[in-house]
This record gives sequence, C-alpha cells and structure tokens, in this order.
Amino acid sequence: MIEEKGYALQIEGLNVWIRGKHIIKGVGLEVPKRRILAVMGPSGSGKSTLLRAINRLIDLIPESRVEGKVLVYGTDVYREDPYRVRRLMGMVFQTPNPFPNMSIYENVAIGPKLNRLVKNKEELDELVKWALEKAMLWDEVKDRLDDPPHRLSGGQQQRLCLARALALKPKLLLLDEPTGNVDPVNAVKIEEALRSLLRDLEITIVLVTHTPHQAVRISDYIAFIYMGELVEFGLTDAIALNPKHELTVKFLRGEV
Amino acid sequence: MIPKVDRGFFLSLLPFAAIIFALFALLAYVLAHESWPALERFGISLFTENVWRPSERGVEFVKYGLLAPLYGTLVTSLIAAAIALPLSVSTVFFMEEMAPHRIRELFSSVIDLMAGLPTIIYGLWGLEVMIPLLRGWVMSPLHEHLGFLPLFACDPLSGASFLAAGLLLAVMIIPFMHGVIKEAYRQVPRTYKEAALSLGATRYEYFRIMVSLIRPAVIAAVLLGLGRAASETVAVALVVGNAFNISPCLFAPGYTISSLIANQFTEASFFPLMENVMFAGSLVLLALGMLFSGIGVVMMRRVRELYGR
Repeated sequence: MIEEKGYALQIEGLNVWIRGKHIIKGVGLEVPKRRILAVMGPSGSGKSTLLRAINRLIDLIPESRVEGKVLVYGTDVYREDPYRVRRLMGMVFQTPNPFPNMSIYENVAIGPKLNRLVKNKEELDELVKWALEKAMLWDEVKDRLDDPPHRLSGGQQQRLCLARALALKPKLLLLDEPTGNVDPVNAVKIEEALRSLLRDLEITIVLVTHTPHQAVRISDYIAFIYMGELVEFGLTDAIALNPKHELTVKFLRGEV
Repeated sequence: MIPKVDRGFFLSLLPFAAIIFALFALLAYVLAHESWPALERFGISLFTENVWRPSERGVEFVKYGLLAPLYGTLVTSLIAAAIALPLSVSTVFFMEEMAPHRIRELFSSVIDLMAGLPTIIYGLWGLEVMIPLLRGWVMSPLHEHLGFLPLFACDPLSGASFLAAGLLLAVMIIPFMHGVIKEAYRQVPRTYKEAALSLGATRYEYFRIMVSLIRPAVIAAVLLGLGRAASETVAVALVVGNAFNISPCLFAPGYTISSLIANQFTEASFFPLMENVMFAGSLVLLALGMLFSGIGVVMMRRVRELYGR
C-alpha cells in the first residue's frame, strides 16, 4: 500500500441531537488516506447517523443539531456549501435505491452530469463503463444499459448504486450496511470490489456494518459505537485480537 | 367465499354499492339518449361549425354548431393548466422541502380550504376584482405595446375573455393539482432523496430529479386539472364573456360548453333541438372527463407501483 500524508477523515468532538435526543455523543477519530474504516455496533447505536453527519445528509432531518468538527481531505464539512461537500463523497445505502425512472446507464451517468465532470458523450460513456467495471457489474449489464434497474437482482442493484457513487470519483466513499439486504454471493462481490478500489484509486472508505465478521474481514481500522458513544477505535488487528473494552469483547462474540 | 355470518351484512351493503354504478350508467344513457336527436340532425357539423341559430318556428329553421364553445373550453382549460402546473409543482417543492414546519401546516390548510370553497365565490371575485385589475394592468398594456401579435391583437372591451376565464380557472384548479402532486411527492421514499443529495445535487438539480421521480403524477395532475377546468361552470360563465367567438386573441370574449349550458338552459325548452344540443355538449364533456380521469388514475397507480405504497 502506498503511504500518503495526512488524514482522509478527521472527526473532533462530534455531537448530534435529533428532536432533542442525543444520538452521537462526543465522537472523535482520524482515518489516514486510502484505508477502510469499519464503523460497527448494534442496530440503533447511531452508526447511520454518524455517516450522515459526515456528508451532511443529516441536514434533511428537521430538528437535527450538529456540534463538532468534521474534516474530509482537509475540507471543513460544516463551513462549506453542503452540495460542494457532498461532491467529495459518494454514498451507498442500506437498501439498493437506483432511481426507478432512469435506465442503468442514466443511473450511473447522473452524478457526473450534475457535477459536470465530463465534456462530451464519449467521455461520459467511458466514465460509466469505468464505474461499472469498478463496481464489478460491467460484464453483467454491458448489453442492457438501457434497461430499467428493477430488471436487475437486488445484489446487482446494489452494485449499480456503488457504480453511481463511484462515477463521481469521490475521495471518500460512505457505505451504510451495503450488504445488509443482499445475498451472500453479491455480498462477497461487493467486498471484493471495495478492496480492489483501495488498490487502484485514491479513495478512502467508511463502511457501516452491524456484523463484526465483515468489519474484521475487510477493514484497516475499526470504530465500535455503542449507544452513540465511541467505545473503541484503532487498527483492526489490534481490536480483533486484543479488544480493550469489555463491550467490544462482547460485541465481537455476538453477545451485544 | 364469504363466511356465513358475514353474508347477511354483505348482502345488505351490496345494493348501496350497486346503486352508484347504476346511477352512473343511467346518467351516461340519458346523456346519449337525449343527445341523439341533435346528433342525428346535424351529424359531425354539430362539432365542426360555429353556428347558433335558434328558432321558434320549427326544426327545419334551426341550426347549431358547437365549435366556438368547444374551442373556448379547450383554450381556457389549457391556459389554466399552463399557469397552474408550474405554480403547483413549485409550491409543493417549496412546502415539502424548504418551508419551516409551521408555515407548511398553515399553507397546507389554506390550500385545502381553497379547494373546498364554493365556486361562485371565485366567480364573483373574478368578475369584481380580477377582471378590472387584469384589464387595467395586463390586457391594456399588452395590447398597446404588443398589439401586433395575434394573441394581443384585440381591444379588451369589458375584460371578460378567454384570458380572464383561464386565469380564474388556474386559481381554482391549483389547490386540486397541488393536492395530487403533494400526495405523490410524499410517497417518494426518503432514500431516493438521500441518493439525489448524496450525488452533490444543488437545490435546483435536486428539484429536477424529484420532479422526474413523480412525473406520472405530474401528468395525472395536469389531466385531472384539465378535466376540472373544462367542467367548471358558474365561475366561468361570469368572466368568459359568453360570445360565440373563435379568436386567437386572448382578450376576446368566448364561450365554454359548461357556461353555454348554464346560460342558455332556461330558455332552451322554447326552441326545438336546443336541449338536445346541450346534452350533446355535455356528452363530449363526459367523454373527455372519463378519458382524462382514466389516464390520471393509471398514472397515479404507476406512482404507487414505483414506490410500493
């Protein structure tokens, strides 16, 4: 792995309240560039909220309040226009959500079009192909790019969503339990795709998962979140082999 | 098969449900039956000619052609939909995405209230308030400065015109179209909104993606709005000018099928075939209304299928 200076993601003293409820409680962590951070914890522990605080989708929720600092490749997320901030990042959601009114091709093309990443149709075609290849979907859809996405299986749809996010050439890729609603074969494909991304690209990944196995299998760093608090954060090997906190031990054993 | 205990209840409700369908069938039958003499006498020319020549002397002296009211119905409805569509779409977006919670609730109630107001109120308001304003501030200046365009070529005499009717109809169908679009908008799952925003869409780009996601509902709203506008009667009769007139000029007075019937029905029985002609006109309205509502229902079903609710 190539060593890069500086951090891809820095979070300092992050607190989030939604309707007066304290969801994220003083979380702070730092992830170097070109690494995978797995955010793990039981459901309802605030993982998804943490992710949405990074790309400011949290703004969508009325009566939400955020305190603290989030830096993505040095950009202060809460001092910049939200749409500029989001253009640094891509996101894949828990349930596959390709736009139902657009074709497979259009689903991937929409991001680059919005962000004016391409000058002409050829470049766009090229980028769409590239993104679908990176998401390991190209071979399966190259002959039916104009089909609506609902003709694809759930796992293929999820890889389509990965391609849609990648087409933006994001520096930070956020994934919210991307394999939660996907069959095991597709789950493996998505994990493979993520690892090869890290090999080939200048990209950093934050993956939210509630399965400790996936976290250990795929990540370089683990953040364990419980009831909105960061219980433990560190290198994956260290946490997997020698967890310091009793809760982490329990979670890794599947007891929490 | 219905369980035995429920059968009595089922049988007791059946007539009430059946009555509605029977009434509708009867209505359609009466319209068709009453229109028949006029259709038989004038044939297709009833819809392709602009003539209104009633006579008390006998059937052979009368001649009717509904082209002018048909044209007026079309033009006023199209003006109304063209004005109401952008207003209702942008109002929905503003209220659902940008307005603070309290303002949204207030606006929502006001718009629902507007939908339920008696239409005669709109008519009076249109006649007494809208027309003078429209005539003084819009029609006269446009006619003066852009009079060379056929749209503005005629002098706005009283102000009662296609434009006045179209505008009033727009005000009347906005709450209705707004409701249809809002319902669809609220059905779009939040995950699509998040997906659109996560791609770095600006507010405007996000707006366009959201509208494309509910496009079938927008089409449905337009069709249902057109149907509403075409069938609106009293308010239009007050502001459209009531003249058998086919003119590209928006400031000219005209007629619509509904306003024609409202205005002429009291005298219709004195003249041979006039009632039948009016029934033929309403038959056209019924056919159009069924077509538009039918497509509208299909479109709304498509929205439900897409978003599974």
